[in-house]
Amino acid sequence: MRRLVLGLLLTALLAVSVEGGAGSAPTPSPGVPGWTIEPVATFGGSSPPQLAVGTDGVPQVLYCPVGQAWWANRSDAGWLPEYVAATPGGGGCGALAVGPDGAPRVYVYSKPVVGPAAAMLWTRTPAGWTPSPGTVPSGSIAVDSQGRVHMVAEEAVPNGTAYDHYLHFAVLSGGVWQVTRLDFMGTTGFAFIGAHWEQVVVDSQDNPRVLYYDQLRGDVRYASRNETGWRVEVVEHIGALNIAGREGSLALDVAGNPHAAYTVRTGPRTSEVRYAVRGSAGWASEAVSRPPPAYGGGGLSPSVAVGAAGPVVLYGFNEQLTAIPTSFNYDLIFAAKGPSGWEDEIAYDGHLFLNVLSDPSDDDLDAPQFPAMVLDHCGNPHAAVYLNNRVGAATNSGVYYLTKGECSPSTATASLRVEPRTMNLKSQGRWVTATVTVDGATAADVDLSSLVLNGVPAAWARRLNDTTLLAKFPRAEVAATLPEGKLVTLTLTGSWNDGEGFTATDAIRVIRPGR
Amino acid sequence: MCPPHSPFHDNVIEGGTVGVNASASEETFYNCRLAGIDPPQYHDQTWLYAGHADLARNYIGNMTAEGVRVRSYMTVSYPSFPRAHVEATRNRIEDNVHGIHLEGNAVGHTTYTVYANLSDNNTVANNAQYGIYVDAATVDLVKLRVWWNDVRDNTAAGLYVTGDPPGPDYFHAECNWWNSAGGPYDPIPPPAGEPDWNDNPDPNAQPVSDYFWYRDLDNDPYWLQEPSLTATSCKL
Repeated sequence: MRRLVLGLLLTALLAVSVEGGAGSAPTPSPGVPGWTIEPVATFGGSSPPQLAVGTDGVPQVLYCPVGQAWWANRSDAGWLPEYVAATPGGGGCGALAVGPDGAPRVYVYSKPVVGPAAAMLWTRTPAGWTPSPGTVPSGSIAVDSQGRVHMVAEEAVPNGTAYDHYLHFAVLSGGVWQVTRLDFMGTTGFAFIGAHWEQVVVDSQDNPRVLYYDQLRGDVRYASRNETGWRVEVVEHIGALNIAGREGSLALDVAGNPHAAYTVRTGPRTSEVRYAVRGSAGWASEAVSRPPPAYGGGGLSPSVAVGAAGPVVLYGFNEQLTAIPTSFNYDLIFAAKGPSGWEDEIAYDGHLFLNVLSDPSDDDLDAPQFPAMVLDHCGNPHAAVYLNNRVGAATNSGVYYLTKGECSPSTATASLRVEPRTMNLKSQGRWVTATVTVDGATAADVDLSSLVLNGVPAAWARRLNDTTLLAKFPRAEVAATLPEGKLVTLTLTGSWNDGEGFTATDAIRVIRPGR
Repeated sequence: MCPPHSPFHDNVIEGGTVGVNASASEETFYNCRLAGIDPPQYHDQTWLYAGHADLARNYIGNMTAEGVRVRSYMTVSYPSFPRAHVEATRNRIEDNVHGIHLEGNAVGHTTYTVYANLSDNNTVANNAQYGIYVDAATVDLVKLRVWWNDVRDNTAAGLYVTGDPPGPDYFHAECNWWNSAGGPYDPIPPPAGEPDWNDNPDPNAQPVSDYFWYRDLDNDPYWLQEPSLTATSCKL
């Protein structure tokens, strides 16, 4: 593994970043040049933020000050926050996903004005954030192409004086949650098992895929559903993890292959981040994170994404600097897998100096937690983290957004394939089907309502996966624009969400039998 | 020989060394004469005590050692011997050096574990060292229950676990109030600090040790104020 950043440079950056005396909070300190950071909201009491990129290509973040859930999207004027819901306590922050209609959904344990706290699904509508009942508290959500919300969570079911623990899957279809307890983890005396985590994503066929950690059996597991039902398999038996937080992540590539990243405890005081991909022979895993340091620490809290150049992982890396656990380097590392293996760089250069352990007032912290990352269509990372950033009582702690690189859809292109390949102008078929594949952009960057084929607007369009669209056009109207010929060109025009246009062409045979 | 359960309720137990001692111990009497045997025969006789106290609505305070002591002082291995423990509900355990001290011991291959069920709105506050002291190696991890209590203003830590307990799990302490909506003060990050990392700059936040689970959802007086809600929600 080749390192992009030398230890000397790391030392120099750290020396700069720890400046800041009592009474002033440290300045947030991005890592190698190119990474930028901006505050989304500042508040104390850490909780894991969520990040998504909308159909308009704009990043949006869910974040949770104590007792509240907020959503914000990025604009030229900064981050624009909206209040979503009251929550019981702090520390947790639900889930965020964007539907094909562009509307964000938030699934969070909510506290109503009257009555008990309950899991709720909140949808952003023109009238504001609208709630509907959920099933069990917390969890991960994804929205499929039909707008159905898929959710996974750990569920504890009372069984006498004990509790049975399940992986709980639910899909909201037609206003009703259809619940499946798709894996029985085991029975304990506790309603809450500490170190579980889970994530759901939806593939191009709208099938849910789930990565989760079963603390009771010590497995990282993968569950997928197809037309024959659910299949559960062990990605890796990792044993006890005992780290609370978002310690695993799942992403699909354009072919639908699952890529996983997760934290593994390698010793009483050490951990590492592993990456696993499922091939024809099953799951194969390898270490991503830097080697654990001598006094303890290591990689944790990974977030994985897959771009055109391959998988990337953003993870936390802490390094205990002294025998007594009071001084740490605490960085975010961005790792990309290339032809020669994993290469990495420091995305955020943090530290954590606790001094007297029982005394919060002497802390010097600049430590990122809970990274969540997605890639844009150019392969640039967008991440949200909670940043513990304070010296004593002076604080800039809160949720921050990190990114690297610029991306414009104008550099992207689209290609077209029309079906049928031979069009009979006398046939009575109903549709002409256009498959549009984008390059340098994602299907989410395309304004579906803008698609026009030979001047005929699409009657219906949907995204098949990250880079492919399907659109149907009225056959009779398209046929009316076509001459006979062995190679007749059809032209599709459309717009990216930022308003710029694109064009794609294809050639098919057009016949009129009987002449 | 085991004494009967010892229920204590609605008392003020104040001003001593240990407020309630529910420890396990043995006492050996040497050269005891056996009754009804002539000529006289003598042997040593050992009495065993397995402490068990049910505590409800008491004030236990101002002790120079512990408000409640649950320890084991056994010196001989009796594998089936009952474990010392307390059940405590709605007590105020305040202004002691330690609020509750839980520590078993090991004799040969026998570990005399101890435990406590501290649930339903105990207040463990203003103790000079630890609110609840848990010896990681000798407290029963499954039977220790710290649920729905008000734990605050203890000087060193509200709950202190001495180290990594045996086995893959950690102790649990759920649905408690740690005197801050931001949660307890628990700053050491994983993997060195286990299992939670909850930096909370609130100076009122109760410091706690590592090696026990608390829930993210617990950091809310909501649980204490609304027992009916707790009954339906905080068990989840």
